[in-house]
Amino acid sequence: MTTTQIPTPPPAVGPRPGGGTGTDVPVVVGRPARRGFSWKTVGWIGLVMAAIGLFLFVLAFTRPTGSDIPYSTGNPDDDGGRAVAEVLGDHGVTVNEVRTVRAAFDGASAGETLVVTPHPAYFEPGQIEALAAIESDVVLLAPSLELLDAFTDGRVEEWYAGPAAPGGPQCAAPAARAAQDVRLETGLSVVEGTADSCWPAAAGDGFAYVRLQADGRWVHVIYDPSLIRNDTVLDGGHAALALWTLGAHDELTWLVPDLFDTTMLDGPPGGGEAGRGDGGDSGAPRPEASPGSVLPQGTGPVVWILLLTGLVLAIWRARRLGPLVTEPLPVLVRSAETMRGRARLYRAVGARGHAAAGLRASAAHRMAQRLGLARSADATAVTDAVAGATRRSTDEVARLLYGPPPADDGELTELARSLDNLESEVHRS
Amino acid sequence: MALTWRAAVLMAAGVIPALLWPSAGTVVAWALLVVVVCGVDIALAASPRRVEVQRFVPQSVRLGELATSELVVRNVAGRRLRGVVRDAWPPSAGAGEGSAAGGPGRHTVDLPHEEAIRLTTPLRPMRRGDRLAGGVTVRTLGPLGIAGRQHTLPVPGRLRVLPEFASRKHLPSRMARLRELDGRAAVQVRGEGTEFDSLREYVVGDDVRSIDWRATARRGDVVVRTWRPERDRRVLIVLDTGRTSAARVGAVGSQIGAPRVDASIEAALLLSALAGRAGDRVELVAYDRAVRARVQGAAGPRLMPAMAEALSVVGPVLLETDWPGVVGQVRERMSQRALVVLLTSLDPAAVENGLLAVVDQLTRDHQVVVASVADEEVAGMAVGRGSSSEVYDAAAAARGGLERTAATTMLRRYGAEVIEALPDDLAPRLADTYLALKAAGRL
Repeated sequence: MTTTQIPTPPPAVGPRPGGGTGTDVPVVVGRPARRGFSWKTVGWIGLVMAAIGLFLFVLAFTRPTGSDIPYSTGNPDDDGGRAVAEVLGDHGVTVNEVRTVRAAFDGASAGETLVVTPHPAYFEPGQIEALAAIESDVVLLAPSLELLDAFTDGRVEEWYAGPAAPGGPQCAAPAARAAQDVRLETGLSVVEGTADSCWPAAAGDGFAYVRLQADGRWVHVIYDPSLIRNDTVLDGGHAALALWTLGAHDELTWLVPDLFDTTMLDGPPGGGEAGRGDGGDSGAPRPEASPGSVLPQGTGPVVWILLLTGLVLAIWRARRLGPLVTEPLPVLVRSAETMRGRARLYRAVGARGHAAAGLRASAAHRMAQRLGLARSADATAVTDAVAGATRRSTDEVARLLYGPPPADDGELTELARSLDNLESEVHRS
Repeated sequence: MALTWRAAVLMAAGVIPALLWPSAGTVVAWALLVVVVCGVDIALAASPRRVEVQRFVPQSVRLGELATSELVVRNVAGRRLRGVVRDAWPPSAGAGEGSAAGGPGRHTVDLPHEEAIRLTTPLRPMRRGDRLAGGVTVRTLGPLGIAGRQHTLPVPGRLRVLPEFASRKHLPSRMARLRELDGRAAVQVRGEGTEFDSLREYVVGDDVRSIDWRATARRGDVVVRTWRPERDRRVLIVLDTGRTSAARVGAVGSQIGAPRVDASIEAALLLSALAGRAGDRVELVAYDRAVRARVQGAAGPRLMPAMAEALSVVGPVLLETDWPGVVGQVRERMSQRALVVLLTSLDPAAVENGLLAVVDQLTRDHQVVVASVADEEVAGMAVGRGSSSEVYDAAAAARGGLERTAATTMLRRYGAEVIEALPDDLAPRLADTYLALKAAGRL
């Protein structure tokens, strides 16, 4: 800052109207100041970055290795599928877990197996089409009706029919014969065509496992997915059934559907319900559904412009016209605060005796003053004087002024009001 | 660097080319265009550093009155200066709007080279004490008004806000009472502590006891003596600025009142105005554990400005008052008998631990008046009967009242006068007590 005494008054300004110190006010002229580079600030930023980095590092390495998604091959919990996947891996089956329809579509091909574990949400029609277009063998665990229809061309229906009857599969499917006895729920029924239906219901019309050939591949439908759960995989012949159906080929694609999976909403590439391979008008797959494809052309650039406008607006509003001026603020303490604190304390511990004594003493003090009693007057003197002034009985006054402490808050309020009445009578007299 | 709303409009105008040629290239090109336009505008704006600024602020202003802060801004940038100048003041300085919108103390300027302009910002301070001005911020805009440059110049300025002295409205009536005492009016008061003034002829109604028989014999006419109150007594006002003075009194609803020390300052001002005109020598010391303000040796017309100046910067300090230190201050200043006015609080705990232990040392040599600000809120609490919680409040207030009465009694037993009054009443009550003591010759 360059502080100089001005030699002459500023030309365009007349003499100052009085009431200030015009002559010795320094002129302040700005100078090209640079804001100092502060290592301290850099140090702080560095420290914060390091802390965040360390946090992420710890987070990355302490994350549990298994997942907690039901039926996932990495889930070691009761509802996981890790046991079956591990055993399949030991037998030379490559298990490839996928979370999206697109990944399943790309991963599974003819001569392999695809297993669709129970899914938390319905597939979109396009996704079901895409799945049905996969040429590999398929194992469906507790499929939805739409999925079942798409894979079996409507030849199998499902309707819950209670637990399976003991006494073997009663069918010719080799997987079922290997498994023999299972504890699964049933609910599948074949309405047309030929299929192996195994483990009929103990009472009712339904089967636990159906194997059929559709579109040139084997489709295994298992009504109850508990056979691949870690907790029930060892019950009966569950393990055998699971290994037979899932391990039929060397490659197994294990689809654990994701609630937020938005891939392949438009069905398989090539369009149409004819399935995969017969379209082929262009080699490139269709772009995935995105908000851009349903909005008019040019939306993207406009949105970008608007975002940049928002940025400019933010810069405009964020730039303050000069720094804030600080000001030491005064203390704000109410004078009655201590009184209120004491009252709350009385109330919190129910100190009715204390409260009543305070009210009584202060009323007695005021009345004694009014009646001209000496400061040293004792209880009897005060009682007599007050009783005389109000024409009440001595006992009544003594009970009011020096009686037992009130038993509850209602009595305390009552006492306060009675004291008020007594006092008003004394002051009137 | 600073942008204006025009920059945002320019950026938003890019929607049109983006619709005509929808591609990422359009967006990038338009963004670059905006950046270039802003850059050109910034380059063409006058330098906010090459400005001469002077600030004119009155030395002091009384609380509640209007002052003005004036800036003289002179453009020495070598080109036309267009933009905004902000005269920054802390919020409690109560700066008013300038010619530019957006906040207090902002002015639009349009200055050719080598010209100057005077910018006036009204100030209506809301609190006592020194208000220090912030810097002067100059934001210059380019010819397009899209972007500009900004710099803050440190221009010192200080406005001292003096106490309001609202209690001066009580001064005329108290002055009239003082004149009655003083023998200028018809009523004569004769008593201890008054001194002989003059002899004059007896008129019907004069006290026969005041007849000077020797002078009557000499003159052959009945002559009475007249008396006037003693003058040149010493008055020391001790303002307690310890923690109890920070408490707010006079709270109404959610609006919190003024600190206790403010009411004490009003009382101190009225008393010193009155005592100063009565011919007594008034001194003041504001003390908690150290001297915060002191007025001594000021008399006549210099007394009240000195008082206002000294009291303007006195504020509550969150420390326990050092009462032995107060006694030391009194002893140091007052060698002979004086009226010592302690402006403090009668908070029972604080009185028992502090004042009561030392008050006898003061009353031995001086006439002591303890003046305290009472709180209306506590008085209101004492009569609450609406609910059980209100009754508990009332009980607590009753207990507090009893303890305060006990403390007052103790103080009176030591020979001190005790005044407890609501904030607005304290100043006149203290003045009345002073007049009563003066009339009784107890100074």
